[in-house]
Amino acid sequence: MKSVVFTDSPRKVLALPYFRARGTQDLETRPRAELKKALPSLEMFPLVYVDVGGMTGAECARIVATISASPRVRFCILDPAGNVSDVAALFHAGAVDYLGKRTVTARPSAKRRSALLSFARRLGKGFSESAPAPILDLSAQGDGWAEIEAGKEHAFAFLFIEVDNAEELKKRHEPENLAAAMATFREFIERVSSQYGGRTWMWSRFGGLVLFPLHERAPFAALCGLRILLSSIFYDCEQSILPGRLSFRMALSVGTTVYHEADTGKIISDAVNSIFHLGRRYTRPAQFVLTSDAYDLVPQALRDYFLPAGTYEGRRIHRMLRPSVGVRGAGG
Amino acid sequence: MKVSARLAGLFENALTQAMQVDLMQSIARMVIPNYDIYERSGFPSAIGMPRADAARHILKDFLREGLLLKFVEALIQVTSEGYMGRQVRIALLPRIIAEVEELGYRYSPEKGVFIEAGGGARTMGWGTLREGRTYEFALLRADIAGNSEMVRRYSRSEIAAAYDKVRAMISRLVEKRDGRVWGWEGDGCTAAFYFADKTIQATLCGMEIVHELFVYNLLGRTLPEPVRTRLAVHAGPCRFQMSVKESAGDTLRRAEMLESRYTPPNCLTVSPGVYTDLGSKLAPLFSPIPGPDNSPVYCYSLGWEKK
Repeated sequence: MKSVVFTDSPRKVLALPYFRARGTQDLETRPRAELKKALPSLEMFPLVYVDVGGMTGAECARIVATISASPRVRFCILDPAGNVSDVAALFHAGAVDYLGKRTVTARPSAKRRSALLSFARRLGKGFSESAPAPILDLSAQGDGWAEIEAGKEHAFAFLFIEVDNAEELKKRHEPENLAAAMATFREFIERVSSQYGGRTWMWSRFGGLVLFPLHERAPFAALCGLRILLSSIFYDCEQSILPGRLSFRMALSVGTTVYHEADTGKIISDAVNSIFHLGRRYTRPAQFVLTSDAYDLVPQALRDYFLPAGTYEGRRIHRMLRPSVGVRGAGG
Repeated sequence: MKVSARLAGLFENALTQAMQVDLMQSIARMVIPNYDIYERSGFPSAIGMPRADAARHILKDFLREGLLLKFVEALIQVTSEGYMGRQVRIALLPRIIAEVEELGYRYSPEKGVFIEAGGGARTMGWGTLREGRTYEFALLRADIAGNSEMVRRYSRSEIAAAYDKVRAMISRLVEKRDGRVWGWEGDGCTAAFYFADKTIQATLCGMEIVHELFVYNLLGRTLPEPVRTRLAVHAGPCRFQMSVKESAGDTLRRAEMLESRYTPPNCLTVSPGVYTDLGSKLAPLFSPIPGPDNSPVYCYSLGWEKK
């Protein structure tokens, strides 16, 4: 799903450094005059930008009043000339962002995008593929890796995955056999994650971390977790060389980190520490848990499959229901 | 199958250079039991037949019967496993295989047969089965449940768009496991699995369709209500015809009955014979439910922990 900009100067807007990196793939423009008519459908857009360039103070107030009448629309005011005199009033009216004269001259940083996500969530306007658009374009799995530069800070969804009973497995199996079994598990995780734009970033013997570049249309990390859960039956039956089913747990969160392709062991990052803590200390065997930031990325239709599961390090946690196979009478 | 002059020449030379006439005949009998080159060629058996003549006659016979690929498969088998304890080397065999692959086939070492290469057209018999012959298949039946009500509730174009997606998804999952969709009759289809582990592959395919349909109904459906399917797997002998309507037989009939009468919507059932093949990892995922003649059939579905 693209974000939308209501503007009468689409070329100028798309040429702004803030938007230029994203290009028309992630952004569509519409004339300002269409804003009122489009109001009922605006909730489904990740972000709705309103360009107030060239407007008088009264016109600007009117258009903000119009859009703020729909309380769930995530709107941002675009003011390249810096004409808005009372920026705070925009936030009082429900805006989630303001792009002024200085902000539009640079690409948004990962920190800024992450802060925007959190602020929208605090306003009760978390990004989601919400009700008016129940159809998720599953073919539009953007990967977003083109924007990721080594040595720079970026926003990611972090998917932690680890086998549950490692100590028991070590006792029961020869080291070489166990290493071969864990190699097939890693291969399975990499195969499924790559279909959703995820890349294995850190991996130890029994699990690791998969990264998904974060952008507004990124529900795919959560979908990837669902896919891993559903596909694990096929992994157990077809790929795994261990007897019985392999139990593993998953945790998903959102945050920023400096990205390095190698030497990942030396990375110092709160977000990375936090996801490892969540995965190892809080997540129970066979569970898939999400922080509230990550839950905001879950498509609306999938949210019925999650339960509140307490708080950890001050963050609300949600847990996915467990699939139960072989029992008659469920399904979709 | 059209054979180029180059392939024919290679075949004759390969046989002439690599083996005596009795070995040629023995390999021919791996494909056509009781094949007698002297009887077929009219050459007096009392006089030793020249190798080149024997190779030419075998080529002619196997081309006429449409079994040349089977003969090449038998050649590959004897070169890798030997024949009656002796090693067989055929220097030109790699070139023969390359020529056959030029015709749009690929050799599958696991299955021991040539099958259609990915890029070309896919036929119901994988390019290797012969019409009119009986083979052992695992058959997967799929049917959209509640089709009549849905057709009444939605426009033809809405139904067509939704069903096209479901059909494409089922075909993709069947072919991923080397199965073939034999045909769609309205809202249902029959898919066949022929190669090694065919019952397991058909069952896993059915399970994957159950999962895929769950994701589709949750996140990708185009109708306001979910599309539900009934799926069933049964295995047994079946006469192969290029038209599924003509492939009537007990196995096909039983697969259809299992799906239509004993399978709840959103579920996959397998017959007792298939269930016994499933092994210790798959079998526990299936639960017995009442089937025909007071005997159980085994059912798989995807459920979720209650909230």
